[in-house]
Amino acid sequence: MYQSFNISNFRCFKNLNVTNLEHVNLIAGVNNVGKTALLEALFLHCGAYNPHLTMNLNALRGIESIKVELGQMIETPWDSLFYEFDISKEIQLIGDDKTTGVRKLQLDIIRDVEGLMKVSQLIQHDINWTKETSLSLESPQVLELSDMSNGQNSYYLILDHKGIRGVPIPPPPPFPTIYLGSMARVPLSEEASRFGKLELNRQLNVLTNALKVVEPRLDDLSIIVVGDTPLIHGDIGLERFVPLQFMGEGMARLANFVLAIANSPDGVVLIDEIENGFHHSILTKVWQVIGEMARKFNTQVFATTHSLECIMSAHKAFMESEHYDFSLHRLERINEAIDDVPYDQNALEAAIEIGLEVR
Amino acid sequence: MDKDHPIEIIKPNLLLVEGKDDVGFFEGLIKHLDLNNIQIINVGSTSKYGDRLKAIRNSPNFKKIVISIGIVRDADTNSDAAFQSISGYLRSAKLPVPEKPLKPSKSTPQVTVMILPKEGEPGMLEDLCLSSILSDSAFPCMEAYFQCLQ
Repeated sequence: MYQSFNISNFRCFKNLNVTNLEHVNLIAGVNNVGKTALLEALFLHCGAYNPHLTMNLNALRGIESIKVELGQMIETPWDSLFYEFDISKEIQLIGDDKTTGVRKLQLDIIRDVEGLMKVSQLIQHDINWTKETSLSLESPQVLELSDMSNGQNSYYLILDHKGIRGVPIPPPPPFPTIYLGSMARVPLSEEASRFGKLELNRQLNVLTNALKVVEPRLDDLSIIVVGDTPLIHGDIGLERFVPLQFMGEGMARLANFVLAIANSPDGVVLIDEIENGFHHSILTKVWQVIGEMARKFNTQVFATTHSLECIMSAHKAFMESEHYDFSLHRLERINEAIDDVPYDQNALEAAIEIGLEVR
Repeated sequence: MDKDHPIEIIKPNLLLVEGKDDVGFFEGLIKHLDLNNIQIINVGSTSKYGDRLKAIRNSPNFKKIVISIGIVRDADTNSDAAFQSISGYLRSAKLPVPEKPLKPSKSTPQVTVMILPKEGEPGMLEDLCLSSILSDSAFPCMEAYFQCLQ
């Protein structure tokens, strides 16, 4: 579980230090202050050794593919990751995790001849991944992800006329991580797979009980294939089972959260704009479910919000739970830099009592 | 909390007071003195005062715009104890601590503490208000009325 996290030269962050992290962390702040960027930095760090995850970030932002014509000056998919698009300054992500200790990741774009030669030697043993971009470049572009924890181990993402390739094969990450974006829906097949893993471990009641918070009539859940699509259906006492999606966005979304947490034991779940799809009246119950699931599966949760009601509901839910293992982090732009302002239980309670803005 | 209108820090000088009556008094005073760059915040009177100071310090815009903080506190039974209590809360909230009442702190934001009714005397804001009308011709009548009620 992360206790602190430091970001340098990534997206809008020149240097951001986030401390006092808890089991469940809510990130607030005005638009364009870096809430989503913080989740993205955590996502890359959790992935540890896999530079291909940088391609996933653009997809999560709704940028599906990049097409470039021969001979034109282009921007690589990674330029936007660098602070002020300055690719001369490396990105550093440092996480202090209870399990794995302090891990430092560095991202660089390799442009010098010596660096490219070193990578060329590795290409002889390369592996082809799926082509996601159609590019014609004057010279290959290489992203280097270095794990600085024990010496330096480097993993490369190569962009050239053949497409995108990664070399060498990265080891698996130290713990599972799932990112639930605000724009991207979880593919139904992936949802069904997560459901299946829960069922396999005889833990389906965890999901059923959690969803009962939103729909008290819910008695049972099952995967039913409609056409060629596996859909989670629920028994709410009607003549037939009903797809979760027909019970409202709140049900489907809560199911996304529970399945993600349950499938990331001892890992991390990242949720962007967590309040989407929920009426304010059930937010406290939603947070109760998230807290219980996070504790049950020892999963650390990072979520972002724009909503004051969401913040107040989270505080209320954790005040009423056995442990207040929650913290609010407000990102604020001060003198061109972005700072983290953490609120512990007492500070947040006090702010709510006086009626202060906390976003 | 008023979810639709949470309190935002919008002025460079904050005046922290202990209750709705104090808010009313000081709003009238700053209006009378035509001071328009002071924002009054009701912090209440509570053992959670330190946490409330932290919450104010954490508020959006605090670091960007606040240059001074005035704290008004009733002495109640002991003026010195009231000042020491506020000093402790300021320390716990990592805000500057003034050396004595009515003397601004050296570092920023500049913090000044006023203990009412007066340094060294027990009492509260209401005592200060009362003392301001002692010379009024109606005062003896009012005093007699309250004596009668007792």
